Amino acid sequence: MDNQEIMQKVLKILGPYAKNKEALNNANETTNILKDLEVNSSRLVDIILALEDEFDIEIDDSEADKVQTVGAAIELIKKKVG
Amino acid sequence: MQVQKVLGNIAFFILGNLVVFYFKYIKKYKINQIKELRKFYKNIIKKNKPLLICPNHLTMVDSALIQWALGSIWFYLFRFDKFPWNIPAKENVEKSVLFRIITYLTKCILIDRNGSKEHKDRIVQELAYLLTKKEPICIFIEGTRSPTGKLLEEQINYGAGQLAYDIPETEILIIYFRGKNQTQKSDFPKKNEEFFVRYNLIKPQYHSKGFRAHREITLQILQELKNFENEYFSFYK
Repeated sequence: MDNQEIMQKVLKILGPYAKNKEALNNANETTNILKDLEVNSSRLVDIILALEDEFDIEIDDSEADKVQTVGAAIELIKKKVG
Repeated sequence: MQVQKVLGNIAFFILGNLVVFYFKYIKKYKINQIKELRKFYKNIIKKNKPLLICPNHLTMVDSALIQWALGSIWFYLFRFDKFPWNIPAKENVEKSVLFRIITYLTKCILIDRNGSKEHKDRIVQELAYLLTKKEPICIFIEGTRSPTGKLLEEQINYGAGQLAYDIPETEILIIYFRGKNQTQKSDFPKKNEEFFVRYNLIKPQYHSKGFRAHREITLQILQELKNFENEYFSFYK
């Protein structure tokens, strides 16, 4: 799975939670999930769980904390998927 | 927290009576079936298990109203350990020295909703500690007062679920507490308000672990609140 494919899936997961749809449409790897996409921080757990389900991986607390940007999510997924 | 609790206990007779006087005689609030609720609460605390109290959230004084609903001044004077802790938002309290003093003396732990993860983790640790000491904690799973008048499902956070998961044998008292004229959020309920109260005690059920369990438990709480909210609207439509 290449970066682009992973990014599409990540953005699809983030979509319903992103209040800033314009930022979502223009998202790239440096896009900050909370600040740019304006995702409610209470929903981060749901996003992490959705990533786990989509990619069939497990993400622990410390790893979840580091997922601040779209790029960080992609890197983590690539690392887990291999 | 121990110092806070002792000072709060000392101040409670005066502070508690002032608040109850204000609610009862100035605002003329009436809580339906208050005796039954107080008896229910006494029976729960006799079990001496960790207890979370999870109400809906519409006014700035919901915590105080629920504390009043659950126990009388005399009850809390001798059982101050069963006066529930609360977690108000720091920004709502810091504006006023008086608020800060009152919240300190009434077993409040201030949370910065925009604070760092370290700050929030510390708060969770403090709450977990209190639960292990069998001190009840009041948590609003909506995290803020609902501006729409309906439960803020999209805002719910899983902190209550996390605590119930982390601390064995935790039970959750779910309370739907709302004035019959309360259509949306406000600082105070209207004068002469009469309160609709429904409650249930649940033992959290979950089939998963970690974050999923936190969510599973919190959604159970939400479902109970939704059931009560439906009952409220059918009652007062």
